Amino acid sequence: MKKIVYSLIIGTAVFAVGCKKSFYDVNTNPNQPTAVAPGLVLTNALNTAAGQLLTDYDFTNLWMGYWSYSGNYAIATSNLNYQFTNSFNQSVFNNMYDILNDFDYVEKKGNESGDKFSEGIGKVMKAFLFSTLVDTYNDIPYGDAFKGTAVINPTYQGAQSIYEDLIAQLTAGIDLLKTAPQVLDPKYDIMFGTSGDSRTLWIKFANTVKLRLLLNQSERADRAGYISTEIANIVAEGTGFLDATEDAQVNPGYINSDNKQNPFWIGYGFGTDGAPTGNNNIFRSHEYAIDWYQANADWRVRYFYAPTGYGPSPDNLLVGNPAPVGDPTNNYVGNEFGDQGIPNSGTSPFGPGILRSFDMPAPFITASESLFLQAEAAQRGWITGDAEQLYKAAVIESFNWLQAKEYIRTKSSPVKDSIVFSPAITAARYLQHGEDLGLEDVDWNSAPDKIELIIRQKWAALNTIDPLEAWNDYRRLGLPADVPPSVFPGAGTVIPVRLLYPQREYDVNGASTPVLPSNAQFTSKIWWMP
Amino acid sequence: MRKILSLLTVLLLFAALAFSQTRLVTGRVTNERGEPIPFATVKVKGGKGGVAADAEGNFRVQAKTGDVLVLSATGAINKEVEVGTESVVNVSLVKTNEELTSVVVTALGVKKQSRETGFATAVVGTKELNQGKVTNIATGLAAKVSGLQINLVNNGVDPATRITLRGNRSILGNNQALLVLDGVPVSIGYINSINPNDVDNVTVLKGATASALYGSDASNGVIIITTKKGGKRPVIKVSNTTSFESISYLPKLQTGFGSYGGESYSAPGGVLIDPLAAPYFPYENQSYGPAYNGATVPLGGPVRFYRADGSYYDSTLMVKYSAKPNEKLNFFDVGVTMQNDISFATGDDNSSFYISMQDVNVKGVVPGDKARRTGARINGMRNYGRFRVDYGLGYTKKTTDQVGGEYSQGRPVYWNVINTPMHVPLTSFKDINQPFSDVNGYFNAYYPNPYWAVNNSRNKGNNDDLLGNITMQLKVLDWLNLTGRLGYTGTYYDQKNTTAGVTFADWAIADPLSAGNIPSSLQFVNPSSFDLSIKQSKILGDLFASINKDLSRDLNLKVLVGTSVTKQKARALAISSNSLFIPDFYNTSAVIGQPVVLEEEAQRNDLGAYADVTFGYRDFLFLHATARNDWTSVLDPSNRSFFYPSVDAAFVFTDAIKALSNGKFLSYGKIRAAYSEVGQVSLPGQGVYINTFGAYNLENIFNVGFGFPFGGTGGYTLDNNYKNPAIRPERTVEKEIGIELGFLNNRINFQAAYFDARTTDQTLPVQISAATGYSGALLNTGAMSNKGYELDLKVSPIVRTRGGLRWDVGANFSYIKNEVLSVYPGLDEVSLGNSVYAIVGKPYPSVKVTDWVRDDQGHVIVDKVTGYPTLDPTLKNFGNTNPTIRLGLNTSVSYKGLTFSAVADYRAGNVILNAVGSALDFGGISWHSAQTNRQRFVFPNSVVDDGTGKLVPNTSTITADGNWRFWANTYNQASSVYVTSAAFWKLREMALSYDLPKEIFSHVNWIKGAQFGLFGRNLLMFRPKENFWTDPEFNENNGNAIGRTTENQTPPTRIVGFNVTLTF
Repeated sequence: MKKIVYSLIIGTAVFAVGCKKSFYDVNTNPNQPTAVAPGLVLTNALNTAAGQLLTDYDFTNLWMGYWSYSGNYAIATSNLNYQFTNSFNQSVFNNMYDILNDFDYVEKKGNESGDKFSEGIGKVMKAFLFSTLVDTYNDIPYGDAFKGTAVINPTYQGAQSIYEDLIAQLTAGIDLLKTAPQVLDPKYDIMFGTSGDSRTLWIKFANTVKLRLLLNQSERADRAGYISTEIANIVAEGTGFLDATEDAQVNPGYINSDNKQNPFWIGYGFGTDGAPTGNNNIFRSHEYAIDWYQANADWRVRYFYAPTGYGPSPDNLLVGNPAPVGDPTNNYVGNEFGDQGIPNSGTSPFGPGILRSFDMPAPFITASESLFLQAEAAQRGWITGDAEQLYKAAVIESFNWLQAKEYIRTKSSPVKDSIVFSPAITAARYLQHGEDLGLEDVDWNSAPDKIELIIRQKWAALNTIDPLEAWNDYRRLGLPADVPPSVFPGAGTVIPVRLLYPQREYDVNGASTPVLPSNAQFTSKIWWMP
Repeated sequence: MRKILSLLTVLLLFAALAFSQTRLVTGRVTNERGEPIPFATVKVKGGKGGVAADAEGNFRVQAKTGDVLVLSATGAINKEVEVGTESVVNVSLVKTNEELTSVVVTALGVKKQSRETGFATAVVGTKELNQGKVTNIATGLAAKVSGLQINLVNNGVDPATRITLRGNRSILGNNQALLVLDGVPVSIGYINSINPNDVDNVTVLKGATASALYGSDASNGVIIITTKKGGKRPVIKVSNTTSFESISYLPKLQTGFGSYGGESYSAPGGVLIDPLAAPYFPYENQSYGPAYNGATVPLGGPVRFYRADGSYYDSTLMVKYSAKPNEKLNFFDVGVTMQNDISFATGDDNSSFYISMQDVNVKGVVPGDKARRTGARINGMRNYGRFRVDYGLGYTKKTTDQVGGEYSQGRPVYWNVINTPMHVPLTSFKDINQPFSDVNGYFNAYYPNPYWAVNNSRNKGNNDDLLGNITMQLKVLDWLNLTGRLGYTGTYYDQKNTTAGVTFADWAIADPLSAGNIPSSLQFVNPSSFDLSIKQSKILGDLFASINKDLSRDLNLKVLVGTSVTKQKARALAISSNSLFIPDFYNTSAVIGQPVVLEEEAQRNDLGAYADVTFGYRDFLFLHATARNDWTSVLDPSNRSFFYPSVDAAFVFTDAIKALSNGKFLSYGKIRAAYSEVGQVSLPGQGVYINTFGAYNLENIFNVGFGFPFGGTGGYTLDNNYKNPAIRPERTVEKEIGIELGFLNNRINFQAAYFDARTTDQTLPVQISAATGYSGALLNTGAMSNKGYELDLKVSPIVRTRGGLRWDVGANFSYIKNEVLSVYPGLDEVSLGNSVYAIVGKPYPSVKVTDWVRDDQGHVIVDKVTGYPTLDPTLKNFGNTNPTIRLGLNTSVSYKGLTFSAVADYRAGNVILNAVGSALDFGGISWHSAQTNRQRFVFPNSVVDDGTGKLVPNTSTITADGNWRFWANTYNQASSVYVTSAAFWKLREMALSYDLPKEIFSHVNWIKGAQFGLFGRNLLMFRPKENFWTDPEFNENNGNAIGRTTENQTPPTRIVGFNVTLTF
């Protein structure tokens, strides 16, 4: 008996040891790769980041007077009255760190593999995206971030010190981009890869981000010295900012297929079959924005919004309503934010400028925004340049980006008999019209306060495209001064100045996460706010 | 060998005759039908000690002529036989029903006497299992075994089940029992694929000790299903069971108010309109409108009717403005289940054969839902000298056809039923092609006609299961057996979900009532389809040697040494096509753009080596120890091998202590104790459609970026879960003690067990701060304690008369205290999903939801202006969601051929989140929302700021609204209002059957018996008054996060039916 038992045990042991390689070596992951080139991570990180900024800040589109809710849907009260909890828009925080982790990989892997250009892009994009988090949450985890389980409770770092490091990181990124032996393979650089001069454009983008971060600090008198030093560094570097036509935007090659359209199109546009998405129905135009565009004879109203009563096909939207501004047949209607009085069929959905096509690029910072930043900096005397010319170029670029064309009907006839002006001419006619009528919100000379004019027109250009920057300006300068707060009963009269830290941070990183006072969304300022 | 033995016997016989000395007497214990009774005890009257027969009933005992052998066996009446001069004494025992010390099948299919086991086991026989004519074995086990908890997720046509033994051990890993079918471990999901009529018995090994030999999958206990074998005589059974299922309870609904949903609450000037003064809105889904008054009102808007010549007219449907409370109930069908069975069993001395076929055809309560299960099984055995082979092959085909989401928001059917005001004649919209019922004309502007989804959105599944096993045994020596076993399970699953496209009429898109109706929002909907195909297989090989040897007259040794190899594989392919361009043609080739595809595969190999040793001393003291080492492919080589032992002891003190043996009152008494450690590879599955068996948890991975690739541009993103190469198996240590007592000749049986299990080193995918770059990390952390006791009492019979009346009763009770001891340093809780959490220091699992801001005494603080409570941003714990107390009662009364049986159970000690309540309050048809007749009111038990900052009881601050804004927009935001006690009493089974007297068939030779039966299941349910929503046994799924129900679960049902069985 013993013999048999022993031989069984020995047999088993031999089997266990003997087949170690073949028997156990079956768990190489067949479903997902465990190592990839930095470029392959960069493509997705850029695309996802652009989508994140375009879709996760939808609440700022509501707060900044661009959007409202349709009357068709029962909307949670906390979305209407600013009385939100820590769970409100948690994804702004959580998703952005997720995206940043990918850029962190690009930076680190770029460094390890000697791909300096990717490393530089990683640094620049991290700095830019981190600034969006600071602008939303103030103090955030920064130095401790992206360490996996090595630092499982990342500490929250002072927002001002982060901002200063972001500028330093941008400088370091620019240095890498300048000196990299070769630029990134265009197939991975879905931002500037096809431009022919991606090196210059990446550096310009980095400088523009720097300018945006410095301008955010404009109302802090104590920062003047720092700002002038950093402006001097930008000037000394010499490449300059994103100029006309130099939009910082991505397009990996969107096609009309599930999940493969432009990310804003996926979220707020139309299905592959052209049927409107849920968000396209839930979010409608804001009365305030429509009134402003119309009062200023601004053709862009037709590009940010579509007339009521029209079908979802963007091709139809213009054809149905080529009436000039002031024509009673034009049919743009919005709800106020907080009032859901009018249902879908009576309100304007998103227009054909921001939903141009499923394959339109997804912007980070448009040339128009860059020019508005430069116009403000010039007006403040930070940089040299003609503020008025920069302002006008910014407005023209806004029309260009939207491809906002003006149609003049020659007779009471359909569109084919119309005169069509190019976006640039349309913009010029708009500026001229403002000058002719002396519109304070359009005409440089008529405007009593040029900064106010620049910010008002910047607001008009950033609609849906970069609502976070519009919110930044509002919190920094209180402009545009008449942006209406929610009319929902009990909402109060103050637009929130920040989001609360996510509930998950309190759940899993409670010791590090700052405890905010009640009503923090109204009172707890971002560090650069006056 | 046998010859030598016979020779020996002869020699011994001579010796006995010559010296009148003790000699060896052999024999076989059988039942009346000649089938062996295993493990009978054979004693020489007046002598000490005794011997046990083996599993085949064979015994050998030293006796002399004139001795009286006392043969006793579980479930049989004791018999005394005098030994004559013969050397072979075959005894047949008469069966009784005292089954306390029955035979149990323990690990690896090894039969043991119950008296030998040092751990808790329970056996449910085929009769008990099938008395309620269940179609699903899990349902048939509910309430019948202490420690075993069965939860049916819902009452769909093929519901998933959750089966746990003694609560939960793993915080986020698997807690369901392992299923072992005829010796082969298979996934617990197969329990739904096995024909309950094929089951000979179900043995439940409750603790980890019992299962140490099955390897790490068995740490949650084991359910061993042994299927039927043929007897000596050929028997053909044919039966039909037909049952009817109907909704038994709807949530409590209001019948006073019709449609209004806050339309125009803010007029253009911003002036608030009092919702109570609002007019009736004929197209609204919410019921916050005027009180019913019996007037004739329009329902929906004008609907366009076309004449044959193309001209048209508009017509509006008019209905009576009064509640039609039965419409919701009548929406649901009476489900019909038709079950047909045929089986044939036969055998002889050296073989047995069993073949069966079953067809279960289910029509569900949700209109259009159906399922069908067709299966066949062949079992057989053949003895050939020292060689024996057992085989079994089962094939089950299961098809399901269930309603999917609707075209607008993908909501479940029940949601759309809820969002139908009470005056709406819902069932009159059944024909979705009628102008008032179709996508254009249906009254409800915001939610589609529920019949649309019934007709046009279907999820169809097709599942083929193949389960096979072969066992070969070679009796090398009398005391040495070699066994080899091969088991295979294969599943081939296909699913296709289709949702039809919709085109709306222009007049509907124009939104004639300016309601913002679905047609104006959607414009059109293209058809969509989803295809999934999964192939999964598991091959298991076992090779072991078993030894059974009497070391001396008093000492018996049983040893089992073996090894087991498991290979698992799975593969899935999924294709979703969200927009197709040909109506009613659901093929991916017609996709607009590109389909979304997913490919997954996984495999896992395991090797185990084990040893199991039992010492039996004089058949009353048993010491048992097991040891097992596992090697698994899914862990890092440094952690791949893990070892775990167990020991247990059983002591039958009534046999050991002279004073107690042959006691008239106490007839049987045993105490037992066990200690075990089990390693459990409880790694999270990584697949979307397949469980990757825990593989691929060691290395960080990159997922394809959303939308990628774009043409030739690929994109990857780091996975959000931080992987961990150092992950080790979880470890459960379980201690158990128990006592088993039999009184009055085992007429009264009592068992009690106490267990204490602690699982440490859990493999937890804990949530971590997003700032780490990841949302979760897999760590060896966290501990859970699981203690409890189980009591079983059986009185069998309580009454037995000469006239043939017999009455049995049984009760089982379980108490479980499941507590989370730790999660991770600095982390107090982990979410299990569905609002359910594991919270340190609290019972597992607990429900945590939003609640109102309250004062120290728990009074709700209301706003001094609006009178509304405000939502507390911090979630609050409302307690345990797993019942801590479970009581099962069963009884049977028989008189001649007539048998009545019933099973009831009680569960308590837990709460449930009836999230469906929120949907009902949103819709405004809830009884809840009409409690104050839609008037403003003082929020009960509230406090309010008296103006100075002091909180005083609120007596006069009334809510700013008592209508939709309060109930549908404020009140239903706090899920705490839907948390209630989950206690219930259920009358689970009641059955009456009649066996026609055998005499009737005495003159016909082709029929041997007939049985007719009536039965009912879930006939009654009693819940605390506060729970007027649904069955608290339901869950969102069969995962660990039990304790929440939503509109995804249709209301509870009741089943009644009849059965006819003919035996040939």
